[in-house]
Amino acid sequence: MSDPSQQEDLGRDELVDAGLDRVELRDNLNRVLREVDGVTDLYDARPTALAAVTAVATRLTGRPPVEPVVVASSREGLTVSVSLAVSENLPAADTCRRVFDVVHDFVAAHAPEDTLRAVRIRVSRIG
Amino acid sequence: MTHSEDAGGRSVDPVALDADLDIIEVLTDYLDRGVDPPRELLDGSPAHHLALDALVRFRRVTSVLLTEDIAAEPERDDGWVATILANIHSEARAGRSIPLAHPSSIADLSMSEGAVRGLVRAAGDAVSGTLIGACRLEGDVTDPGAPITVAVEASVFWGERIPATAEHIRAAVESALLLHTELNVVAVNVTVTDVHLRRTEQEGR
Repeated sequence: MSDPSQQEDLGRDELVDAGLDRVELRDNLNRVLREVDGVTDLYDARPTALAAVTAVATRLTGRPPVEPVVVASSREGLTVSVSLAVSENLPAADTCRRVFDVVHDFVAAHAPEDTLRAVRIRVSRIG
Repeated sequence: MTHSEDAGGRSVDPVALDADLDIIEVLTDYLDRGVDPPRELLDGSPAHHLALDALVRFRRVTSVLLTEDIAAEPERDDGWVATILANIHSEARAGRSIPLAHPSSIADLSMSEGAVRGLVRAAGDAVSGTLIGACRLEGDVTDPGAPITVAVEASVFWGERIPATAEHIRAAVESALLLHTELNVVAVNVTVTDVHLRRTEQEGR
């Protein structure tokens, strides 16, 4: 069985010729997004089935757990996927938009602007 | 550590939970022991987190119900306790994707239906003397602006004024949805399905 977390590493060399590569970008986003006002947790943003397979592969290989934020690449550019838990003390939709802004600005600051193809943010829990 | 252990020391694979394990039973085992479920169990899925939140509230409220009321449960599969626990389990699942607006063409923002159901349940449970039994979002939540009706079933404690309590639940749910979502909620319908006896102070000792 191929390791999905290895698959995620494919193509990193073709990424971001200035600033961070994709793995560094993912790791930094995992750190930065936890500090966004209203964000209380991050979940694995992969589709449920793939997240489960990844978790099995991680367990079998003894590798550390994968970071929840997903940065995927294709010829069209980067896609960033995030699944969030947010505080009930701030409007959840606003927190979601704030996270988008942080992702957008962070990628723009550390990678060429035209490489960002899509940013998928999902609020998975409130409170 | 990649596996958790339940109250009986059995190995619990977080990955398998959604597929064939009863997450409510697993979480109940931890709560019965008075220990927090392991982080890896909760990080594995927001559904596990939502179920735990609802279960903790459920146990807090039912702790003040008469023992006889709970003991009167005829069958685990038929009683109100089992029904609520089953609903907590099913409602915690992610469900449909509810879009959130953003002017950027590259933004794909959404809220899971499970997150919204968890919000509704939490808002209702917060009303004193009540317990939410079930909640449903009726209408096409995937279509921005589509009219949505929220159907809530609730239990109330004996002695509560049912119309006033139902109105408090409705107002709390509406307020939470207005604050956190962009749903076009046209109605919040609250149905009181059960009345339960409250444990007296002496019985509670």
